[in-house]
Amino acid sequence: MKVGFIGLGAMGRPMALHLHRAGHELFVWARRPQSAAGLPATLCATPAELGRNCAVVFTVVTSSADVESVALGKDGLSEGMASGSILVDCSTIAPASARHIAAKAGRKRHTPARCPGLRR
Amino acid sequence: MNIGFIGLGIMGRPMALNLLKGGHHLTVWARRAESMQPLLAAGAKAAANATEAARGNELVISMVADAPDVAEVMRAVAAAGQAGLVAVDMSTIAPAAARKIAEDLAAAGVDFVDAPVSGGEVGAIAGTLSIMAGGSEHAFARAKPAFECMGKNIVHVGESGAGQVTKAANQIVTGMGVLAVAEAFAFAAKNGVDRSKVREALLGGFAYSKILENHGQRMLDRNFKPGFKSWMHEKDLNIVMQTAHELGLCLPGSAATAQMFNAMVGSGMGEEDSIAVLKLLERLSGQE
Repeated sequence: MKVGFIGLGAMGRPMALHLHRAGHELFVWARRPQSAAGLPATLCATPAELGRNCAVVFTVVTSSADVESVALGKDGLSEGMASGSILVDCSTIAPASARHIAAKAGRKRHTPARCPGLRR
Repeated sequence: MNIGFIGLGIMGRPMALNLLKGGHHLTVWARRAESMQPLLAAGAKAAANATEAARGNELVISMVADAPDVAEVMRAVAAAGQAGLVAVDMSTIAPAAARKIAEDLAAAGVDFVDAPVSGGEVGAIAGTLSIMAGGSEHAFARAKPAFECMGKNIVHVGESGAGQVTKAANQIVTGMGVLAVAEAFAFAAKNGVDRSKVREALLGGFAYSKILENHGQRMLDRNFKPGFKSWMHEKDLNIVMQTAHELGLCLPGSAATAQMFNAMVGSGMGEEDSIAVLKLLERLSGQE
């Protein structure tokens, strides 16, 4: 499966590598492109471009505002992701923010799911 | 071994029965004569008072409610004038009170071990209690065969009082743990999220604990029967806070938890299990 991954920090990077090891084709975007260095993945220019390539996208970033900007901002995921694709945010953010993103992205007919990583 | 056993309540009765099962000869005494009946039926001898429970024995064990009870019982034990006697108190009392009792008994030639337990009624019946002991090497070694009939995890922590310090530390973790799980559940419910699913998810992460697993399930089942009564958890955290005040030690989490258990006692929930703190939280936030 073509899987998108945004957020390649202490948590995101090893999580993305697990997806690669399981045989998925990785597409990544990073605010600082050097954080993607050495990853067995296709580096995309914007979240929107990443979204166009993938049926499932994971985000593991820092704050509610980061998730909102990556998902809903200019050149964000929702501009690229096709109808029926799935956005999974694994960051730990406010429940209200997660519901807001679900509602906004859902209006564009994606299916957002949430599963914050528990080992924080 | 010839053992005297004093205090046959929810905890003491099954602990004494396990000593009988382990082949020890038991003399028992309890304030209420009817609590002695199950032990006498199982082969124990009855004593007329605490002094008589100590007389002729190598070891005497008390399991009563609070420090004044222990002090009173141990004064009676000292009066037996039993040379070479080791006295063990397994109640939960203040470390300072345990140290004072150890000194008083030493003056009467009696060795003392403070050996409070964790594991509740279930652990007492199964003989799987955690026993945390304070006292001399010699006294601990003398009591150990008896401990092995009642518990699994038996640790000689240090000198007199060290057992009670350990038990107080245990009550800090269990008290705050219960409150933490209750707050997490109140948070989930107020957000319209299924708490049983929350528990299931948390069990796989860093939030895993026996308290989340066992007490969390009982909270979901709304099973607030004791278990461990909230007035007793309040009593134990009072020991923690008293000791902390004496030392100038800052324990903000224990203080908040102690006040929640205090409020449970004040609002008539003292006889319920301390996990009923969930109900109090719900009441405070209009979740009933």
